[in-house]
Amino acid sequence: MAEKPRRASLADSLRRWIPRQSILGRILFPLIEERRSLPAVLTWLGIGIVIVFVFIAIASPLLAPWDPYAFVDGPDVPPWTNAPVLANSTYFSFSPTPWMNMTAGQAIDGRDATSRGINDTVVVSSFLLRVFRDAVTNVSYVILLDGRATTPGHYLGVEWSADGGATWSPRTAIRTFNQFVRVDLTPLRSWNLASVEPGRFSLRFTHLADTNTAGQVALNYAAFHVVWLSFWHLMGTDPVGRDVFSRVLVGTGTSLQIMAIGVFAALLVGFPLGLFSGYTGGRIDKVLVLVMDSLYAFPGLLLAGLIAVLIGKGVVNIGLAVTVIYIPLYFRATRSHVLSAREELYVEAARALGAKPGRILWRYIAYNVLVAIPVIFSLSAADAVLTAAGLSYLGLGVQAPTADWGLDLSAAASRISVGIWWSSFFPGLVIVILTIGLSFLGEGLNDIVNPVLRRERS
Amino acid sequence: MARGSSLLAYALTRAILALPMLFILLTAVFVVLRILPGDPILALWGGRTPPPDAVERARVQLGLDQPPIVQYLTYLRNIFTGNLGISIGEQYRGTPVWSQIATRFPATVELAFGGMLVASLVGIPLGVVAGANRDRWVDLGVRLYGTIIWVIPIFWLGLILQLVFGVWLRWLPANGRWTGVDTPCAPPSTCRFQTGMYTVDSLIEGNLGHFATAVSHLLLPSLTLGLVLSGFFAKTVRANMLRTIGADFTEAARARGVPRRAIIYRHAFKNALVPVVTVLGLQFAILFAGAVLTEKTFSYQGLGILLLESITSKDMTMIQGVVVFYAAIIVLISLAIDILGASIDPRIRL
Repeated sequence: MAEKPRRASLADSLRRWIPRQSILGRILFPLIEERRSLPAVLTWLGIGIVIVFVFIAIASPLLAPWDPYAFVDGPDVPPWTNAPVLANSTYFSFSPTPWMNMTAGQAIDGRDATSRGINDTVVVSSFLLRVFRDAVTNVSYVILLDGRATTPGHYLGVEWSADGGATWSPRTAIRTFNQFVRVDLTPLRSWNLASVEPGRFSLRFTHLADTNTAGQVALNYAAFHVVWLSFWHLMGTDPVGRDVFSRVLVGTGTSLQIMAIGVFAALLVGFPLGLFSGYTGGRIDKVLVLVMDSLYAFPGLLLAGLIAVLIGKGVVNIGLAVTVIYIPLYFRATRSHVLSAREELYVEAARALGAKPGRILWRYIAYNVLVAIPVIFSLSAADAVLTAAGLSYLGLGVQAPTADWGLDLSAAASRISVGIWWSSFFPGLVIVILTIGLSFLGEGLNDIVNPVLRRERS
Repeated sequence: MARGSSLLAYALTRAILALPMLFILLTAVFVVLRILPGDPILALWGGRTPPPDAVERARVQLGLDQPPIVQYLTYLRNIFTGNLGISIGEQYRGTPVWSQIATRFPATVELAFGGMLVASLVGIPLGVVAGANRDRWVDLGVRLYGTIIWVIPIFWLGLILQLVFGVWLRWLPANGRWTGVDTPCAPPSTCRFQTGMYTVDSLIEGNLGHFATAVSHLLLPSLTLGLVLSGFFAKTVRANMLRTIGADFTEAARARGVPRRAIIYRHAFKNALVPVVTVLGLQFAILFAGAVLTEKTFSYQGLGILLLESITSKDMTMIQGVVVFYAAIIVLISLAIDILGASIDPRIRL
């Protein structure tokens, strides 16, 4: 049967531009030709994930729905919902008045605001509520009168105004002592954001009495409660009301920068050192191996943490601190590849032909070792992301308010104990996705550039 | 007795070879803390201006006013005479660094052992099953598990376990090491000796109720640390299983008609475990780093928390002491693992 002329595949057209035996070719051709095999699938998956993350890192200012550094909503808003948020504030200013200790009436601190004269009035305002959305669902004020310090028969009259004191409501008498009295104002008018802004809402207190005997009334606490519906957030908000999703997006850049600096710097130091040490051998090699093995045996996170404390906490500094962990890794991997490549026949042939050591080292050894680098590169990149996140989690990495996954996770970690999981779960989840992508890439490439492993498999 | 003496000789050689490693690590600690750009005392204040007298006092106390070589020799002499110095931080000011390390170390040992136990119980069976069923679905599943669990941030896994078992289900205490007045061997009860490890102490005391409490507090942190390490265990055991299943001696057993189950467990599995022991030695660095993160996640009062506390309280001597202690422990462990490996597999000694 005559063979049908095959259509030119992607690999065919690539072959014209990329030589099969070049470094890129040795990785790219198996990836395309055996794309159905498990290693190739893993590799493509990894490449896809990494590309998405790089895209997010670059485009995050455009993608982020909220300002990642601003307090845009109530704290601890759950994901996927418009949650009711309780804004609760006491007053921060009051009118000139015969009332005494007005500031002490703001909080339960054991002291009271008191009035000795019947019909003494005071207007309190500036309730510093944080209401971010014009979706007020419930409005009330809360009063606590101190029964021990109040003369029997004396009580408090309260009026409220939602327009800065221009109009006042009818007076409500508060005769309940020693427990919080909550007066619901929701049905009394329509409420919008403007009417609950600081200064717009005021309360007027009047000292009242049943009989005209002297006595005092003691106000322990007065506050304004507004319940409003939060905005909708994909991943909720963090404990101070920042949008978790936006911070996760912007944090991608931080993480990738630290990773890139750490891994590239380690490559730049570890690779030449490994080449040199493995090729020359001798005493220098022994000493270098000992030093690198010792560094490798030490918990990298602690070493990087110490260095980070000393050299400062910028993104670049953390990247450089992380580097220390990976230099031994590149050194060991490069050196072991050099040791096996050094004994190959083609190297001996080159030596016999009179090639200079520099040329042998670069053209015949380094070139072959370089193929193994992408594998170590992506595996150490995955580890570097984890290390950087771990450093921030321990408080030794980048500093607030930088958007960083580890830092956000650590700031929200204490909320886990009250069941608020989203503000630490999602930053961790993206770390997992990125590191899984990088390690799929590394392990897939490992099988692909290592023909012995591939042959065993088939 | 030839075998015993050669093992002893091997152990001695390894011990002598371990000295340069210890020396290099101690030097690295010194270099990082004293020589690297940045004044350690100023750095610890994190950009804020420290009171001048505090800086001067710390500088003299630490001998930082002397030339580096003198500092280095003093540092080495102090360490080899077992003098880790006196804390200069706010929290433990005036107490010997050594005593703080001694109270915290048992907690970390307990955690590390728990983690290793979980990792072995989960990782080794998974690796064996995967290796015995190469390229089947089980194998693929175990490899995926190994890859994924290994790159999960340990603190994130810890928080999730805390959330599920501590907060939602309320099965286990979500936080911290067992603290309180009635911990095992606390004053009213009498123990012949005390280790500081609550699980061990409660057994010495003979109090099973205490033992259960100690284990329940240890369970979540150990599970966190152990699950992450189990991914690595599973992958290593699997790779070694593949090698031993393909080896000549398993082939020979198969030719003799030994049943498959016996081949896998008696021939392949037992031989696959030997290289795992040697690889373990390198993983202790990761175990300790993981332990620091786990301790922080569960507020578990071990060495890692002590180090973090000393960094925040700007306690130079304590930082140096803890890091030096870590270095010494790591050298000792890698030595012990080497000797253990050699005693299991005589070929290593050759």
